Amino acid sequence: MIRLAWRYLWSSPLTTALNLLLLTLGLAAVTFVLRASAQVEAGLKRDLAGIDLVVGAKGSPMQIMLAGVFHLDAPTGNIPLATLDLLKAQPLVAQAVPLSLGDSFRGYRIAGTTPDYMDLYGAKISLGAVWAKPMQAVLGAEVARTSGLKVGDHFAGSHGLASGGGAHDEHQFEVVGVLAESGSVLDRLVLTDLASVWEVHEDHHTAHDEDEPKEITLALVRYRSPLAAAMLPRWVNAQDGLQSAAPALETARLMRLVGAGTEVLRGFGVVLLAAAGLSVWVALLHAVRARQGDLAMLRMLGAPAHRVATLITLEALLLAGLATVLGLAAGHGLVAGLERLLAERQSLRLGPLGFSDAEWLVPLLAAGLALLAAAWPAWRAYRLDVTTLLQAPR
Amino acid sequence: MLGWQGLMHLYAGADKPIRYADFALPAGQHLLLRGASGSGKSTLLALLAGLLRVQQGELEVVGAELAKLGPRALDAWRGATLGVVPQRLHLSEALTVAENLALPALAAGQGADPARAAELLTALDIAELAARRPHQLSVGQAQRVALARALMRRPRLLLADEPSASLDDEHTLHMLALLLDAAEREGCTLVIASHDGRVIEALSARDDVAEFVLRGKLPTGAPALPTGNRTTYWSDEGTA
Repeated sequence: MIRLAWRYLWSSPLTTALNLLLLTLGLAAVTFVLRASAQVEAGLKRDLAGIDLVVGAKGSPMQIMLAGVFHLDAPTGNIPLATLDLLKAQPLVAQAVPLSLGDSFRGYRIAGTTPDYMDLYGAKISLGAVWAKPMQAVLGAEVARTSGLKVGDHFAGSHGLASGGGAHDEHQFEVVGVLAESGSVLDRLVLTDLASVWEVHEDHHTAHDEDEPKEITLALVRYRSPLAAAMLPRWVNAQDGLQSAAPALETARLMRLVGAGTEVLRGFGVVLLAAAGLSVWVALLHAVRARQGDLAMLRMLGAPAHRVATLITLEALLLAGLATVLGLAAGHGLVAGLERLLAERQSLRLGPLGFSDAEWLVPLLAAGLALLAAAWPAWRAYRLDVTTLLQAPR
Repeated sequence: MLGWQGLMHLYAGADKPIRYADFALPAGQHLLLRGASGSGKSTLLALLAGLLRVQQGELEVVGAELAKLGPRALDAWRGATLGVVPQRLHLSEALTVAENLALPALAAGQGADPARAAELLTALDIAELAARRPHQLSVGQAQRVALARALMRRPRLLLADEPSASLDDEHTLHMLALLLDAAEREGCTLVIASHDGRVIEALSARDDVAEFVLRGKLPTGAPALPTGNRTTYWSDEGTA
């Protein structure tokens, strides 16, 4: 039966190919939207790593969050190192980790911090060890891979967060460790001691600046209790020159912004699927009409009406099955392309590849669409007047 | 084995029913159904094939009283008992000859029987056509394939509807010979529905063919076609 349905399906190769293309494109668009949203969300969640609040210089909370958590934007400025102690002294704060940004190495950011930062992500050292003194660095897995640097090698950072800034050749970092690949933002960071950043930038400061208090760029805070979410941001924002950003809120806002584009793409996929469904419906209706003789002959040969109707439904389901495989493959291919593009731009790393729960909707959607498109043609086949077979040709 | 009594059929919207004179096919005989277009021939064929429900009267075909069979049972009975060579052959263009011959088994929800297909193709002298598509066949070849398809499940009744349509004289005689040979070889009863004078003429010499004539719209007193040595049954009440 399946073989017969398959042969019938491809007896009109052009129509079938067109329907297959339409269905595949629609399902690929839906797959891409489902997969990409899931992976972006997983990627964002993974990089949040339990960070409840980012504290930076006055400015846009979104910018602070993007700079402090995802390392995608420039920070709003620096804040006094004393802020860190101030935050640590707050009873609602479980942990406050400093982050000092300003330099980069081949486009990868150099982040001055403490080993606590690695603990936030549960990162493991795969080679070497954590820095023990300033100007020692631990490379993220991607940085090590693309730069080819090994433990014991030396390198100099360049000024600014993008590649192409002036080099700090006189301040050489020594690679003392390489992090195991975690799929998180740490993979594309160079981690070093907080003091390294101050040391590198001493030359940029004038003599009278030496007495000025040390600065950091951001503080990453973990709350001690949920109560902190209501109180701490307000307290931070009330401090002179400080701005808080709650990553969970800002990420949700970001997803809403991205969501508009996602909705457009999803709508496009739905329109494509509707067109495909209509096209399959027309094709099946035409097939039932064109193959009236064949189907009537099957009935004449003893096939019950439901078997003939099943044959038509099977054609639609086979088409849907094929389109599902191709659509899922195309959708995953597009996501893989997006991931490569983001990796090349040293942007957000998407979540791990594989099937997301929502993707099971794709075959269900295809099967539903096939059944819907086949319902009326199958009913026509079911109700076929077999006696026409015994009438003279007109 | 094949016969009817008080048989009539009324189509929805028609003002009067088609009535068929009582008939019983003598044992060992084949049957020629004769009648012009509109005489009720197609309706009788559909009734014989179990495609139309018996509304009134009794109809016995190969030992089965069709009026007593439900739709499912009728389908199964038709598949197992009846072989049909329709006027339009309806060979599926999407399939090869061999695959067309697998359709009867598929219709019955059974596995294909390639050995039986090969046997029939050989018997009908078209073994080399198994892999061809219907559009690659001549009319004569296509008719043989249709006959092979009809014989696949070893029917007890072989029904041929206007088998000479669009055939020249030579092919008409050849087709009739094929049908009669096949019926003899397979041991089944042959029912030929035709209004073709050549078919009627050709069968007139045979004493194993009974004839049932549906008068239908033929004007009263129209000259009867030669009947030879056949047993002829006239359905005087037949009307469309």
